[in-house]
Amino acid sequence: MIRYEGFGKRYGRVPAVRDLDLRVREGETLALIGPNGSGKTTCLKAAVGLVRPSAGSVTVLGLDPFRRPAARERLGYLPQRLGFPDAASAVEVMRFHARLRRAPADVAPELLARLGLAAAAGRRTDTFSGGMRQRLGLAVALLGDPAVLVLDEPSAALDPSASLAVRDALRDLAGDGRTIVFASHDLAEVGALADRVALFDDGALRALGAPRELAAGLELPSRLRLGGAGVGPAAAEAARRAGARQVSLSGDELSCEVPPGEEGAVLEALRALGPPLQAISVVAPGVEEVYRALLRPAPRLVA
Amino acid sequence: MAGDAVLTVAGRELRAALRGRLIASFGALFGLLAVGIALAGLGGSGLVLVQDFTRTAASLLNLSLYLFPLLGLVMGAAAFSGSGGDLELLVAQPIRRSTVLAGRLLGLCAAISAVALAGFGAAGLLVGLRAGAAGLEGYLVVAAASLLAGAIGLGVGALLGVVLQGGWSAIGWALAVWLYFAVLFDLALIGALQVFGDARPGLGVAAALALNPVDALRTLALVRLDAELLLGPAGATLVGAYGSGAGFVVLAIAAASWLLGPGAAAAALFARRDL
Repeated sequence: MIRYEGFGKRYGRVPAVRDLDLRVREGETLALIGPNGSGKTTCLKAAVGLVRPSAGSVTVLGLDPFRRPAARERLGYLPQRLGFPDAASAVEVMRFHARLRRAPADVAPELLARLGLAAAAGRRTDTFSGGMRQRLGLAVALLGDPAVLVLDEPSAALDPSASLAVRDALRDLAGDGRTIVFASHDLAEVGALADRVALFDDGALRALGAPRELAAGLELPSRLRLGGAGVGPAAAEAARRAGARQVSLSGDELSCEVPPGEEGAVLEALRALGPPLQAISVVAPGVEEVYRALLRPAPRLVA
Repeated sequence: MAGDAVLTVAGRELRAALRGRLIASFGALFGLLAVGIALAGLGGSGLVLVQDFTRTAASLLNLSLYLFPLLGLVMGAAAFSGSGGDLELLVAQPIRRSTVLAGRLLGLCAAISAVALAGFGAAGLLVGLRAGAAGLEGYLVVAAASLLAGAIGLGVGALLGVVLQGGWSAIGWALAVWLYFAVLFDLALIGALQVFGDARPGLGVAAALALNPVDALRTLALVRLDAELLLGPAGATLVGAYGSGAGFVVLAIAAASWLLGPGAAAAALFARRDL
């Protein structure tokens, strides 16, 4: 759907993205994560034709989005910084963009309703909260039923309710089979939505893959928590002997890190102590652990 | 489709501008001043005289040639510097950048025309009702010159916005350019004429005036007004030098170049610019 081949971008003498090879697969949700200035937004803007590659190429459905407006016909975009004309109502904004996208204008109310803005359709957008503006931006991006959505920090600066509403909307959209590429600093959101994660640092792709694949490749430990009458110093010692690390006791709760594949052995060792265990939870490493692991000096990994 | 899209963008820009504070404030200010000047002209003449349209036009000429380029410069710079945040969303639509630029400029030009129509219309109606239609042609020339000055300001402002990108720096430079158009150039020209000791209107002065579109338009408008009546022997000399012939052609070409050149440069740069 979107293909970066040797893509590089410099702003003056400053390199923003270097030598990126990345292919966004049809129907997947790909999250771009990384620190500020790592190149995420530049990658998204290049896919929409807002920036011109300094090196290599970017294509959307086989077309160069910078030179061929047709590349954007099946692509919806939500910029990081959204602006609407003063005093325009939500429905006016939708009608305007529908006309430009040659989409039927009568889908505007339906899209606004889908994003929870039906009651605000006639309201001026300069009276909207940040969450409402973001959802309106998403509604604009959905005009013309695009096959690809490119979203730059869709839930940035939103309160938890608005952020969750946007996350739910994105989950629904991904369920429709759309290809979604989004940048985010919210690792919980990324973990909840992304099929694959592309981790950028200093303009370079440091890691690409499903969170589980990346965690497995990095041999990141799971987090084990358990409680019950059997939890005590003896249990902690048994866990250590079975291979657990970072073992800690807090009241009647034990938590520890377990290397991949060792979870069963640790649990078996604890059960063998006798008293019953309760409240067992094994949390597999997620995006946050991958992010922490990779943004320390680490070898390049592309899973 | 491209033509439709240009009109769609232009219509949106026009609506947004007419609802915005800048146009509303500017329209109210210019309308009040225009009507005030018309009333002052009528009052000063006691009973209505035949030259009232001409005198009102002459009084409005300087005011409007200060204000309309300022409006155009600021609007053009703001529209293309990306300060509003909606330029990125607009360019991300499946339309050409030239469509975005043409649509925005057309819409903003229509908004400036609406201000000109309101101000000149209100003042003109007042003068027409009291003094009749004599001198109307010159009055319309001044209105057209003001509109052209606004359009030139738009093109220059758009170029500044495209080149500088940052909202406030583009608007800051737009104000600096306006200062050049309105004040600094005239001071420099007067100084130069003093130094070189030949202030007679001729091709040299016309070439110098071509460096400032406001002065070029002012001169072109003055020679179409009853300059002899307004300015006496100086007006007659002005009409002789620039009312026709090479002087007129130089100034007309200068005005046309200022109208088209910055807009074309903005279009060329906007097509390649990163957003």
